[in-house]
Amino acid sequence: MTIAMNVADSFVFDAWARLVIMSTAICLGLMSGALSYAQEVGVKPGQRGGMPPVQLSSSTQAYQRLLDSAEVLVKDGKPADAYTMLEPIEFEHAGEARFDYLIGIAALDSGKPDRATLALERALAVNPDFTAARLDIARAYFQLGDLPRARTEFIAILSQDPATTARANIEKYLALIDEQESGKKLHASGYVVTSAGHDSNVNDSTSQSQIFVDYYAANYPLDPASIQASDNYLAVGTGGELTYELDANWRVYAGADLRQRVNSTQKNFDTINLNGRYGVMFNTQIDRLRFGLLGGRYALGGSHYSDTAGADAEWSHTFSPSNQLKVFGRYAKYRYVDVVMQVNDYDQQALGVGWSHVTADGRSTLFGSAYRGTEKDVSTITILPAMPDGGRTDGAKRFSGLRAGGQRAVGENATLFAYAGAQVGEYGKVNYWFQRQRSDRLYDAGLGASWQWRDRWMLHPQLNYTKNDSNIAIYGYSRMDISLTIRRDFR
Amino acid sequence: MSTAKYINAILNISLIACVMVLSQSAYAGIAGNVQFVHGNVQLVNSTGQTRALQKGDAIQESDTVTTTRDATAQIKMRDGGYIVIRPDSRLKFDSFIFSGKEDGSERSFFSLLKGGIRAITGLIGHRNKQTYHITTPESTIGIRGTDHETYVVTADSPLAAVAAVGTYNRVNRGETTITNVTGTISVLPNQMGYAGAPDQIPQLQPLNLNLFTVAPPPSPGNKQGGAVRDATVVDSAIQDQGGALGNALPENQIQVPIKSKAGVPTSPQRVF
Repeated sequence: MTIAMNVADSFVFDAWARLVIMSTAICLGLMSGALSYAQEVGVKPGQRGGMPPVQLSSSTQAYQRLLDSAEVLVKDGKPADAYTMLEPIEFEHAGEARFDYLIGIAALDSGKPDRATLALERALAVNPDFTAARLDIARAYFQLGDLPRARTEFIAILSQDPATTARANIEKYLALIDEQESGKKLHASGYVVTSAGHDSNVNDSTSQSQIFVDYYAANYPLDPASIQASDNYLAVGTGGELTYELDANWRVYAGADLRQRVNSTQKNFDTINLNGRYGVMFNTQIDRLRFGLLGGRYALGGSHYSDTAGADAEWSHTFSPSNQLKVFGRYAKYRYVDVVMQVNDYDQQALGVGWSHVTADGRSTLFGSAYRGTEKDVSTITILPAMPDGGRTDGAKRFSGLRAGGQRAVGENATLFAYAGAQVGEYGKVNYWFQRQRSDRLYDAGLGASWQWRDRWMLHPQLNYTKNDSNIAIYGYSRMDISLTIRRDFR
Repeated sequence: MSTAKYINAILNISLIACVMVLSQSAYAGIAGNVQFVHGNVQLVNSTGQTRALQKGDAIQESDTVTTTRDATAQIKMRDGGYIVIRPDSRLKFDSFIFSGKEDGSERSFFSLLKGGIRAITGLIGHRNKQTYHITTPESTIGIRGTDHETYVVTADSPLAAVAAVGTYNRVNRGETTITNVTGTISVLPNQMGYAGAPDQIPQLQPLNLNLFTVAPPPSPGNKQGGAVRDATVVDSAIQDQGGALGNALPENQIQVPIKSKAGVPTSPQRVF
């Protein structure tokens, strides 16, 4: 009996002990579950509500240094790195003005405008007079395509007397919003332009008056019309483009440009260029695809000289607001009108890839591209017994090149720009007269400025230099063109 | 096995099972945590207890969050999403289940009773659209991976002075649907859908800025807002890029005839 009682007591005690342990365990389980999630989202153990986080509290020097580093990264054009640095501690520091603004602009500049608005909304909820946050939330709304809210915030900032440069930018945004919100599906733009300039080589010709022809083993005198000639010129031009929105992504476009250049004395080298194009565009927030047909007509010295017909395509992809990739291609037939020149007919095809980068301050853009292509000589006209298949004397051409450039905004309405390019051209046939395969090195460079002195009026001084080094002297030339252009745009 | 040992074994197994199940269910019941609070934000739990919401607080299933005028809160959800509760609003977290992955058991259901929210969805609803929705008096908002904002204007709300009673839904990213007994419409980015009543067909309308302007206006006459970023990288959208200099082929040289000194084409013609 006693033993039975002891066993029973022991069992009851054990059961009670286990129930107590179970209850404790359940409590611990509850705490552990809540704790593990709290740690996931950034809540520190023991923290509830206003309790300060254990690490990187707002008052610590380490935290202030981290914010300083993030600010430097944004200013140095590395906003994605700044965002990566700040995002893990957003939960802890959301609601602190400097933190919210920094993570907001880091998100905006690295292509996350939705996340930017989340942070900047906090900054403005706490302080509606935080103008910098308001300007950047307006930019974020614009990036999101939320034009009504962008307009509301831009207008609110104008009432706070922002600095002149900021005001100029805001007015550009507002003009663009007006244009996009007009509700019109058909958009038209156009321009007229006039230039005056001096060209050191209007005929792209060698400066030598005579050249050595290997076939004759003798020097060969050139007509003055085939020797470099400089002249002053006047030019006028006009053009326009129509685009029609089929839906949110698709557009069709058609455009044309006409330019005429009149030399002061070298009338044989007066030119008229007429180019037309039409095609389709597909736009999303990060991708843009354009495919179109093109055609051109060229007059030289008052006579119809050549025609161009073909197609071109371009795809651009935006990795972030500061970096864009572009792939472009072109196929075009170049045909001469004059029977004598038709031996030079060719088809050109080219494919290239380009990159553009906008600097952190948004005021400079750098461009670069590389391309390769061929020119296939397609004429069957025979001018030499040694070339029974016809075609141009130097045959087909393979070319490849690099181009780079940049522009920088100066003040409110001016931009400086510069570019340079180099192209290698190798031809396929041995030139009968010069007894070698032609090999060219074409270099060009330019610099200039654009100054918008009135709304839609632009003044445009520019200097261009071109030089072609060729192993066949007659194809070598250099050319310097300095011009001043006035342009008026219409929308 | 003796009876005592048998009972002991049962208790041991039960102990382990209880700890596992209960700790998991407690974990599943937390919908998210408060990331940001500004102004007077109250939470009413399932038992009717009310308390002021503070940064870091957990939001449980069945909790209702209420904001007063000029108050706002941001909740970071367990699935990585965010819920922003606008001023003068009431939102109930009806149901939230998330095991850490999309396995079909997850769900995130809300009831917006008054005012507005912004919802940036996380993993829930990413693959299984039916696992996420917001119920309003007039309709149900469904999503297809999105950042969207929803407002419910009630007759007793100050917003009724600037917008008709009903549910408004605008999309920042992705796509949402508005459904009631009359049918369903899709709302795409930067569109706003409206459902006036449960028996009225939802429709798209121009954006109502009286509802969807988020930032409070600056103080009247304030000219001291501090320095701003005059220009930024995103301003390239409004800059003339000069026809993308450098991203194109050089202009083709048009070949002109080369002539001999006599002024006629070279002989034989066009050798060069």
